Amino acid sequence: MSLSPTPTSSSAAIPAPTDRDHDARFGREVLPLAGEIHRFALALCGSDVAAQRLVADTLRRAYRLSLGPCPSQAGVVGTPMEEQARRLLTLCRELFSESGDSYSEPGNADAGHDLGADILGTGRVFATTLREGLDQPWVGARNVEALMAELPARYRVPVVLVDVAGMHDAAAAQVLGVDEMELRARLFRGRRLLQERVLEARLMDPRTTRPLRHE
Amino acid sequence: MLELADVPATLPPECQEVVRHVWDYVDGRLDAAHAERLRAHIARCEPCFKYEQFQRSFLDLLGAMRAKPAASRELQDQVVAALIAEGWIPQEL
Repeated sequence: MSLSPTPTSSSAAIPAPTDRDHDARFGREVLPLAGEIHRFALALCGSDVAAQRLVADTLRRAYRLSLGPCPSQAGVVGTPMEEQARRLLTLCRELFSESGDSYSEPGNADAGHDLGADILGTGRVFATTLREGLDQPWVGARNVEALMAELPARYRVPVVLVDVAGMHDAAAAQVLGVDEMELRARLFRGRRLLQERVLEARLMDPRTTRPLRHE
Repeated sequence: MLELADVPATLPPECQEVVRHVWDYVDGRLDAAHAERLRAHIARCEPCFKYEQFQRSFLDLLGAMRAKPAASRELQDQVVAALIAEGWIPQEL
């Protein structure tokens, strides 16, 4: 178990002692969300070690906020789980943004991954789907996760929030601190980059077929 | 066979519209008239139908990863240690 110092712990004052009811409630309501926060942190950091540290620091900050004069405003305890999760993910992103490179893995910069104008990229995917008949079931989800991890965080995180975690655009935009237009622009770029990697890696199984759906 | 680089130029305008808007379409973000226009074209255009199916399969795959992730024991230990350092009193240790 790591007890190493973290960026948020050294300078802040230790909060006043709290009653056990508050701590029990925090444990009951917030700790079960650690896995969900970790998935988001992993998308931000790209490294499990850094992500675990970021989750611990996020929950540490959440605990402090829950002890504040108006804990309900912090949205950490006593709110619906969906709102709690959104608030905690936002805290996580804020902490990540404030930390500089403390939680980033090397080589996770956004530069160098753009493959050109959107229409050219989607056109390449379109052409490949025609050539190889890729209207068939996907295989190798674990491989897709690995390919997703290679995306720049700027584009990976919206894909994780919206397409993997199932968050609505408005909520994901709020978590990331951007407007919905920006969120969808990043989401589309992330989808396209991932699709191109998936197609390059040939993660489709050409031996299987699926009945075409007519709607 | 379509070449990768010249797809946008060689596609009919209706197909280009599908390529441009397919994600808004499958996400249900288009207005009703626009969505109906795309749906009608996709229904009679096999390439666009395949492309739309591909996009839906792709999003289905990502959605299949949606299961609530459980925190590992290692993560739980790290979180509990961080909270205890803040003064949090665990209830069930």
